[in-house]
Amino acid sequence: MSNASLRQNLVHTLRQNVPLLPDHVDDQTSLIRSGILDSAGLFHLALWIEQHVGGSFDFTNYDLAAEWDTINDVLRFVERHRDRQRPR
Amino acid sequence: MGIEFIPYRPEHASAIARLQTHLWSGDEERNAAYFRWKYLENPFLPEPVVMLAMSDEGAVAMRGAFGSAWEANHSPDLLFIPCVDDMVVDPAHRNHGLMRPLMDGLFDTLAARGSQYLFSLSAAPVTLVVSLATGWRAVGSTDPLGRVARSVVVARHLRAARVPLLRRLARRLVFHSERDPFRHLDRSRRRLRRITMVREPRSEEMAALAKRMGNDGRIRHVRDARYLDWKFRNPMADYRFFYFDEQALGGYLVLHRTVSDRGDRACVSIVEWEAMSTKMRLALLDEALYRGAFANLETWGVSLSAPLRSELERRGFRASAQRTLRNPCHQILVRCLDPSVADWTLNGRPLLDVSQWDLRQLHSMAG
Repeated sequence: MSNASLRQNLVHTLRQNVPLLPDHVDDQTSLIRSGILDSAGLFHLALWIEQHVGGSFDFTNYDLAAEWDTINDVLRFVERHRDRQRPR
Repeated sequence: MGIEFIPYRPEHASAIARLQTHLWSGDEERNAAYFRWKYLENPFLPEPVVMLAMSDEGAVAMRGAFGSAWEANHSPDLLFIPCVDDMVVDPAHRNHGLMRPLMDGLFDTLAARGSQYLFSLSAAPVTLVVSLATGWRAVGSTDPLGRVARSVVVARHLRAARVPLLRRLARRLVFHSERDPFRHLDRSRRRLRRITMVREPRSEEMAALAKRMGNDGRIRHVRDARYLDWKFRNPMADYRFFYFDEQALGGYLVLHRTVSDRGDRACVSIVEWEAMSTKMRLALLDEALYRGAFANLETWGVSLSAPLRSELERRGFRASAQRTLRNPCHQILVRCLDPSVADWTLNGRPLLDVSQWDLRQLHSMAG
């Protein structure tokens, strides 16, 4: 999946699961620290990331508010960890 | 419609019992008893710390902290640490920004009361993700080990076939063990001279044994009689106790299953297991396995010694192969309320190193 379609897919997932998501969300909009993402929204975001990073990814070593706060952060996180999980 | 975030007051009890039908159980009366037991009768934090989001309809979200007491590094001083639990939001109000102010209110209250650390002892998936995004840090997984009977494996295959006749057969195969997993245990007439199985705890003797056993300085929940008495009155739990008697109590093994219709009532857990010798420990385990003939038995592997872990594996216990967010291991989480603290320690023991803990399932609300 290209970066553009990954981004589109992410925004679509957020739109489906986060009623408080503002109409205009850019790549720098704070999602977690601003409180836009609540419990269920965060969980859906985590599921989306798990699906795109692959398999049984362990989130517990990360400060999620820092790593996933914006769409840019999430895409960078997926990119970084997808690369690590690819077979060499 | 406005939402108000307020601390618990006694007049909220029935609203909480209703709200918690989304988390604890579908039975409001049982939920009310559970709230009373967990928050009002708690031996370590008798004044409840519970935050509620209230709308015109009543309580629509809740987060609470119940008391727990710990010891670490051979210090005689007890460390009272609130355990944060019971995150629930009414489905109609999910994703409307309620959790953040609720948690902030709870943390402010606890900080004002002087709490430095908070624990979460069995965070399920949603709680885990929310917690990791709000300053909590993971100590480690509870590392569940499970032992599944052949009948359950066969029933799973039959159910997967999606053929009505096979599904009926599957239901018959596991009907009794799912309805009453203590059935074999309670019907067993086997009597041994030294090992007995009873429904009532011998809390004083268990506490005395735990004291005789001493400790190795790891971070560990207090096991005194007052605490054990309270813990075994949990209205969401059904316990069975195996005791190994010599002149005094030499060992015990505690089995638990939930009675909540929101939990897995078919699953039995070994939630506490202690004895003066490995031989006694294994005798207790073997007797429980023999008499119980459990379809689905679990325990936490997190603080087991390597020899005990291999004894469990020899008896068919296996770690789950793969864990994902939809099928997670529960996690132990810690949060520090004082931002100036860099090294999270308890009497000098590093809190974020799971090998520094002696954790038993009994001390979480999953046990």
